[in-house]
Amino acid sequence: MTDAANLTTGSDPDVAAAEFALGLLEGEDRAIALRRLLAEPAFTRDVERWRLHFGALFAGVASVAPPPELGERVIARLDGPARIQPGYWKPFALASSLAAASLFGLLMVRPEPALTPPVTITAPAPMVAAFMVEGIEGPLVATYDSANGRLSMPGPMPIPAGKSAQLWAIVGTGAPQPLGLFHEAGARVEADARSATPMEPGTTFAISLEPVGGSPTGLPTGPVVASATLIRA
Amino acid sequence: MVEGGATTLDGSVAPAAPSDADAARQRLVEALVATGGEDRGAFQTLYHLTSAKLFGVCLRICGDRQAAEDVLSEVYLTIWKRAGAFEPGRASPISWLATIARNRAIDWRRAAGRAAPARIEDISELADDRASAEEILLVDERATQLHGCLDQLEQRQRDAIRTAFFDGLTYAELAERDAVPLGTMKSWVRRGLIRLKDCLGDD
Repeated sequence: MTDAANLTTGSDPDVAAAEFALGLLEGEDRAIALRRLLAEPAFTRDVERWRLHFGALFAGVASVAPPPELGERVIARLDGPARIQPGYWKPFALASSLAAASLFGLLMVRPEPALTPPVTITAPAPMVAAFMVEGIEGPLVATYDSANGRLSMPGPMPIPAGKSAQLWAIVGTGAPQPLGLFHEAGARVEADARSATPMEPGTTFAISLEPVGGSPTGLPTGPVVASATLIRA
Repeated sequence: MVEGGATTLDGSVAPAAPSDADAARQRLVEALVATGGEDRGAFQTLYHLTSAKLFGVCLRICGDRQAAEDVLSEVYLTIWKRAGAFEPGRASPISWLATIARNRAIDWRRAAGRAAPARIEDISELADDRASAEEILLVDERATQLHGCLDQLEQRQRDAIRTAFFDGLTYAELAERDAVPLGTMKSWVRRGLIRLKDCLGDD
């Protein structure tokens, strides 16, 4: 129809935000977009806007009533096995840390694995993320507890005076979501990682230094000091 | 669910008055926010209002009824646990919910090693000419605008964009699916996105 239009290559308008929001990018291109997401508020806003636009595509999906008993089954399960007892992960933490540390000596720009590993929908596995934190040698392996939504890692964390360390999540193709501030919890530090979107394997976590109390804008305003990808242990 | 239970909304075929859509959306936001406070009654309302839409999304992506039921059940458990994090001002409630359903369903499909169920153009518009309660929730300005703009694209561009969205396919996977070189696919889609951007007037 309009093949003649926009045949240029080098100077095309920037549609990376749309490409990212659609999940088209992988490898280095995706890593570049992730970096921009953390560093360029305008890019982040674009991604968010595209995500809202593309959300309109759901309107084109036909509704289909599920079987009537499904609703009852769901409600019966609300307090069921989906809620894991606190402490469940603890015995696994060390072994998973070692495994993850050897697998994942990653830095910011490491793209996430191309595919999520096989998912067992009903039995969540422990999840870990190996952070490289500035000022600390070797990766810090954080564990994510999906039962209470906390991300915790060995402390202490070197936080400059007058700053807070804030956790962010980039889930799928979304904009960075502000999560909690790190605080000490015994010998560890932890942050509240509960969010609008479930933390799935492949979620990118980032830590930025923000004014005390956290970013005032809802997007990272300070330097990103570490990032890591969540994987199943 | 909604077909049987919703009262006036389902009876009145589109175009709905804006106030109806606003009221429906407001009701959904309230149910979602209250669900975040672990209100089971609100959760049931939420399920009632949205399960047909979300089941449609799961079915569309899984292409398998039993799997779609399993995924839907997980989706609502996720919603129950995560509703507290929904930010009413930031996202449309139905898009927020549908995104959870989409992500879960794509996860399932990838884990099951399945290809995308069917070319989207074949099924996406099926049974879609009748506005139901959930459709009214979605027929906002943005949806109308996007669909108008997508209509201006070439078929293959539209198809690629929809497939990327619903099936989670990357450029490389789209190229493989259509048996075209990666560069060709990128060029098609980019041109489409540029036109879309112009049409949507985002700057």
